[in-house]
Amino acid sequence: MALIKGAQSGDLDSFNRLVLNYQGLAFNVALRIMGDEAAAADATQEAFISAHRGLKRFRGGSFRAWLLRIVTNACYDELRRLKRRPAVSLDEMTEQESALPIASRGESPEAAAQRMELIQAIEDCMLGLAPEFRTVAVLVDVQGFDYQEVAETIGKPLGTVKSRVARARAKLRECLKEHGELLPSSIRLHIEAAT
Amino acid sequence: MTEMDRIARPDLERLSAFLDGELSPREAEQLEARLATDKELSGALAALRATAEVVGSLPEVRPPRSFALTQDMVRPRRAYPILQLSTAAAALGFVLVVGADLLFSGAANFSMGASSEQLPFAADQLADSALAPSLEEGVTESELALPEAEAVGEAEDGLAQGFYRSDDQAADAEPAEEIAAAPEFGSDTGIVEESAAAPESGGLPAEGAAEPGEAEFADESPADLEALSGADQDALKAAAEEERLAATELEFTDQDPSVSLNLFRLIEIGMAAVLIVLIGLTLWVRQRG
Repeated sequence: MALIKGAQSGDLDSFNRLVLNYQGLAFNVALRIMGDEAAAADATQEAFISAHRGLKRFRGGSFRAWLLRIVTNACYDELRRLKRRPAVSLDEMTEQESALPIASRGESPEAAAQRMELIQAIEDCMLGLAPEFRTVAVLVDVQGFDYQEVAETIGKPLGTVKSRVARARAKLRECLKEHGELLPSSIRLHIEAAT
Repeated sequence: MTEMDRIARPDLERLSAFLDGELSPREAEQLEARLATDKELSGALAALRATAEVVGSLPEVRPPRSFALTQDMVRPRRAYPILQLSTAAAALGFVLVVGADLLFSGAANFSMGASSEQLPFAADQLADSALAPSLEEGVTESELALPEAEAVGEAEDGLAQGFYRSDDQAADAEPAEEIAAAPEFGSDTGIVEESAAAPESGGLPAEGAAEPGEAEFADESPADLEALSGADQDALKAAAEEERLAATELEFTDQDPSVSLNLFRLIEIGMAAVLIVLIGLTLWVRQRG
C-alpha cells in the first residue's frame, strides 16, 4: 500500500517496484489472452504505462484486479488492432508460441514433446474462445482467481462471471476432446481421465 | 449433441461454481444430493473438473524483459494536446469560412435576384415605349437612332416577356424558360450576355415582343424622323447613356461577388488541406502513444 501511495505521489521508483511485483502475472495473463509473446509483451508494457497515467484514479480495493483490468483492456485493444491490420495471422502466432522452448528438468525428450503437444492443444482451444470467455478462463483456471476478483477485474457482476466460466469450460471441454483424438494416448487419457 | 449440451445451463453453472467453491453451503448441499443419484450430472462435473485441471496445467512463462518504466515513457505527451487543439481550431476555422462563404454567396444570389427582378420592370417601361405607337415625343424613333439602346431594350423586353410568359404560358414557353432561368445560374455577366443574345438567339418572346414595335417603326416616314428636334435627340442620347451606365453597373455588381467567392474557395481548399494534415498528424501521434 505504501508503494501505491508513493507511486500516486509521483515517485517512479515506487511504481517500478509495483511493476516488478506484478509484471509476471500481467504478462502471463496477457500471453494467455493474446496467444503471442511479442503481442503480450506490447500489451503488458502499454498496460503499465496506462496504469501509471491513471494511478491517481485508483481509490483502493484490489490493486491486482485494478491492474489486470487495465491489462485485459490493453489486450482487447491490441487484438482489435491486430484484427484491423493482421501483420501476423492467428495461426502464425500460435506456431510461434509453441516453438518457445519450455524448461524441462529431468524430462525425457518424448515426454517433453508430448507435454508440448498438450500445451499446444490447450492454447489452440483457448484461442478458439471469444476474448471475454478466454479472459475468465485464464483468470479462474490458470491464475486461480476467485469469482469476486474476476468480477472486479472484468467489471461485470458475479452472475456474469459464473455463467462465463461455466460456458468457457464447456467449450474448452469439447475442443480438448476433439484435439485429444489426435494426441498421444497418454495425453488423451489425461484429458479424458474423469469421463 | 455434446455431453455438455445435455446438461441444462443452470445446472452447468452450478456444477462449475461448485467446482470452484463458489456456491453457498445450502446450494452446495442440494447439488451434492443430486450428484449422488444423477450419473449424468456427476459425469459432467468430472468432465468440468478434468478440463479445469488441464487448462490449469499451462505453465507460467517468464516475462521476456522488464516492464519497468523509464522517465521517457512517463513524460507527459505535449505534442498530442497541442495537435488536438490545433486540429480543433482548424476545424472551427474551416466551418466558419464555409459558413461565411454560404452567407456571402447567399447574399450575392439575393442581390443578383434583386437586379434581375428589376429588369422586367425597367424592360417593361422600355417595352411600353417601344410598343406604344402613340408616343408623341418620338421615343420609338430613339431605338432606330440608337442601335445599342434598341438592343438592350429588345433584350430586356424579351427577358421581361420571357418572365411573364413563363409564368402564364408554361406549356409552350421553352425559350422563355431558358431566359427566365438565366438569372439563377451564377454570374450576372451571363445575364448581360443572355440579355444581349436573347434577340439574336431566336428567343421567341423577345422577337414576339419586338416585332410589333418594329412594325410601328416601319410606318414612320423618314420625314417624321427628320422632324425630331435637336433637344429631342439630346434627350435620347442622355437616356441611352443612362442605360449604358446601368448596364456597366450591373456588370460591376456581378463581378465583385464572384471575385470574393473565388477567394473563399481558395481559403476553403487551403484550410481543408491543413485540416487533413493536422488530423493525420494527430491520429499518428495518438497511435504512437
